Amino acid sequence: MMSGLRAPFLLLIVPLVFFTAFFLAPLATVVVASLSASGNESGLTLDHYVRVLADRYHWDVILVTFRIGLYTTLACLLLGYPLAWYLVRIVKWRTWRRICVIMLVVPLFTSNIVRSFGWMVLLGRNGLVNDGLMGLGLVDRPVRFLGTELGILIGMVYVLLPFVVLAVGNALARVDSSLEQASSDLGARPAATFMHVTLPLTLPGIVSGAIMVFTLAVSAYVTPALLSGGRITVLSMLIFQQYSSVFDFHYGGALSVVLLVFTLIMVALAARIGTVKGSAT
Amino acid sequence: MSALLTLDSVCQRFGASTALDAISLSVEQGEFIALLGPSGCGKTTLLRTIAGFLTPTSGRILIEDKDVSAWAPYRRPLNTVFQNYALFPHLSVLGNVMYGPRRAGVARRDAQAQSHEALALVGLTDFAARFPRELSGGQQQRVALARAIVNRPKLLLLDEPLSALDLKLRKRVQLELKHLQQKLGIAFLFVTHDQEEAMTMADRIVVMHGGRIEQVGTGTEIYRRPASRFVAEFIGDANILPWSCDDQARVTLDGTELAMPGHIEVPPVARGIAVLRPEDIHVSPTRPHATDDASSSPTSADAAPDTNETTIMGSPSPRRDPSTIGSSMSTPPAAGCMALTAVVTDLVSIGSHTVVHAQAGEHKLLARLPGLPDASLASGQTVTLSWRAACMHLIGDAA
Amino acid sequence: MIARLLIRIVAWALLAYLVLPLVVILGASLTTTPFLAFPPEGITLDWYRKMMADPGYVSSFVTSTLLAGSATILAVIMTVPAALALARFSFPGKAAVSSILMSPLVLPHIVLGAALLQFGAYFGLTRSFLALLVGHTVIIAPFVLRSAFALLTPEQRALEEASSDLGARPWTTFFLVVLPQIRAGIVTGSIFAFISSFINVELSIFNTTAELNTIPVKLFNYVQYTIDPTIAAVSGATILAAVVAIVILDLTIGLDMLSDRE
Repeated sequence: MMSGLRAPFLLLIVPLVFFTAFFLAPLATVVVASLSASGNESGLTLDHYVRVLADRYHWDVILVTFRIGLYTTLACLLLGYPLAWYLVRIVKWRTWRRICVIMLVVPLFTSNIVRSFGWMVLLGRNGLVNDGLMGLGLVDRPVRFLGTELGILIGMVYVLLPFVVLAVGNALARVDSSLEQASSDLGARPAATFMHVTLPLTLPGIVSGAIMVFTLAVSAYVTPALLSGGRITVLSMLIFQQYSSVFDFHYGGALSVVLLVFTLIMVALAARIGTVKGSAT
Repeated sequence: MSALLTLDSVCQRFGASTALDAISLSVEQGEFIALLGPSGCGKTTLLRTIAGFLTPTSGRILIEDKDVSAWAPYRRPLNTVFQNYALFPHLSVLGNVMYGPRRAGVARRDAQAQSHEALALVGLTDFAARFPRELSGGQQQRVALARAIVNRPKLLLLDEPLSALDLKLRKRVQLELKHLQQKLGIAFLFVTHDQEEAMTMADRIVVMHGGRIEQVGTGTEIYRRPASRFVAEFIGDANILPWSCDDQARVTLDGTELAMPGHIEVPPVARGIAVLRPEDIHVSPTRPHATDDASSSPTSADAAPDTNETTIMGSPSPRRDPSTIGSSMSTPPAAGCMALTAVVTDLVSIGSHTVVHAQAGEHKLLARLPGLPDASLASGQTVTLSWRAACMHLIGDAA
Repeated sequence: MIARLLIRIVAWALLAYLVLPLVVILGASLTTTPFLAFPPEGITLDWYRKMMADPGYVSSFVTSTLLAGSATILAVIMTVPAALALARFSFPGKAAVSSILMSPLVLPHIVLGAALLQFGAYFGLTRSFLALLVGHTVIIAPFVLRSAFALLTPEQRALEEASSDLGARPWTTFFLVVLPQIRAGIVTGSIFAFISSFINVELSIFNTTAELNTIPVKLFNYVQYTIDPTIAAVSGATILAAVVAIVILDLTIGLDMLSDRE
């Protein structure tokens, strides 16, 4: 590692200037706006933040956002771990695993719009899901998915599941197989080996992945917007409204800062957990 | 009394390749057995099969007469010390050692007590609260050992556990392990590719090669009476001399024939190889003018075995002077000796002994002399190599 | 074992779940009916033809591609030197620099979009290609940075030191030794960057107009009001583009990412 300032300075000057101008400065503007008095007054104020906490309706929005985020994360974990296990531990044929990874990653490469649009079609009154449910005799009338939290949940899990699968999969693949063999050698049955060796060793990777997914779920805009049917509002939608229709940049700023700060805390937490227990060596 | 572990024609095939070919072996209680062989000979495969990580393609594994061939590792009353130790990084040293007892249902307090005992046995009493990543390689190895023995297994399997240690430490640990094994009375099955290690520690050595057992015996038996060419050459250094027998047994080297003394026992086949260890060869200088007929005369084999004359029997021409020049060239006993002439190609002094590389015609030979090389011995010199015929171990060719 | 069977069933169900919406869209885009139907009644490529004949869609595709392409190039130009600086030098504030450059990956894009709009308004940098470009560059740069950085390993540094030892000046070492080695990282990162820009909505919605539109935003607007098979065709086209991108990635770096280390 070389020291001295000249070389790194020259290498970093362009990206740093760019980022300062088009990343840090705009964010600073938002923060400032959130603290500035609205209307024609000047000076700083915390009114907008107070409003965030005090406005009942908006408080509900935040609650809904976090609730959906939590359920999405839990569902992704419960479903993602088995799928990851399947891909890492059960699939033996390399080509099939590659195909599965492709199936996992293709959705990531398509726009949220397209993915949510697909669910709009599937979850509609005449969509395949209702057709299937009625065909199986599970329901008599079409179930309403669009415009419910369940519908949003289905769409969000769809978008975020690959992240969990990749995070868990990587954690699983990194577990040293000789540790599991040692556990078996010492008398632990497969379930005990999983509980006492595999799970603890993969936990840091999983938790850090879960935190990231939770953060993404809370900040999501497109999927909730499309699947909410106008009946449900989440935080990002609220923020967008402030900038596109309500034009209250101050309040929008306050909401944005709340979301930003929350995200930063979560990211720091994930980084901490990911490194505390370190690698499985 | 039934053997602790019996392997009955155990085979392990992976697709077209055979890793283990009809391995049969028995291990008694409290024995220290070494599985010795070069890389790829199947010793680790055998160990893993015994441990239960591999199921044999055919054959049986019996522990105290119970057929455990299909049993999973966690059911077998044995434990393994892995080559990379496989210590659980998320558990402390104590947690690692307690793992086995806890899985077996032992109460926490008792498990802790037992674990402390095991740690004391390996000399790591104060390390209970540490984590594996804080320990040195030698300490990790001892934790792995404690973790295995705390379960009081009937048989302990060790997969090259010392290979990661440096030489001095390894030699010390070898003796410690031997003492520990004797103290605990647990049978040890120890995989290694280092024959010195095997000879140091084991009661019996199983030499493996190409998935087969070449020979089973004590270190001395294997060294002095190797069952095959492979064993002879793998254990220590060996000079391989072809012999044949029609009416008279003789050793033939590039057309030179040396008759064997009559009292030498010859296997009941027509030909084979004779194994001659370097330290059994005596080296003495030959006068240049006499080398022509030196190696072509048959030895006379009828001298009384107890005679200790200073001449070499074997050649009528007075081609050497029996007076030795220096301690490294002591005169060999004359009884039942064989000799031939060779040229020294290399002289290597290790300090404690000297290795003499010599060439007789096309044949390369190795001799080992104690101490430092004699001043008269030099590369390029013509010497006489002689040895007592009884020192040779004869192996007959398979039919 | 029962557990393995259960896991298999769950896994297969989830894989079907992952593929389902995309299959539905592709299928619905082929229907002969004027409304979305799955399974499609009849097979026709008319909707794709209609899409390609529609100047609005075509220009949106062009805009999206140009935007993604330029943003990626810009990102590469900026972040490769940054990767070098972070991997090979120590200097005060290094952690902060690293965090700043990587943070667009984890911060909510809707907030970034709003911030850029508000900030850009002061300079007239709104609703233009340039406005879109700077935002996209910021959010995709971390992909290239991460991939390039990952390949600047200590082993790689040994090669650079050898090059220097043999008399090559820094520029030469960069072009002859560093670039060939990190090329794979740059390519991979660029693919992820390009795709991320192409599919982005949260940033683009703030700065698009009727004339200057990207495909995702156009779809976003339409989907909320009209649903006809043309939308399915446009979506289908993007799905096919994604599949092509993945296959290219698989062929270049191989996607056997989750295999057990054996």
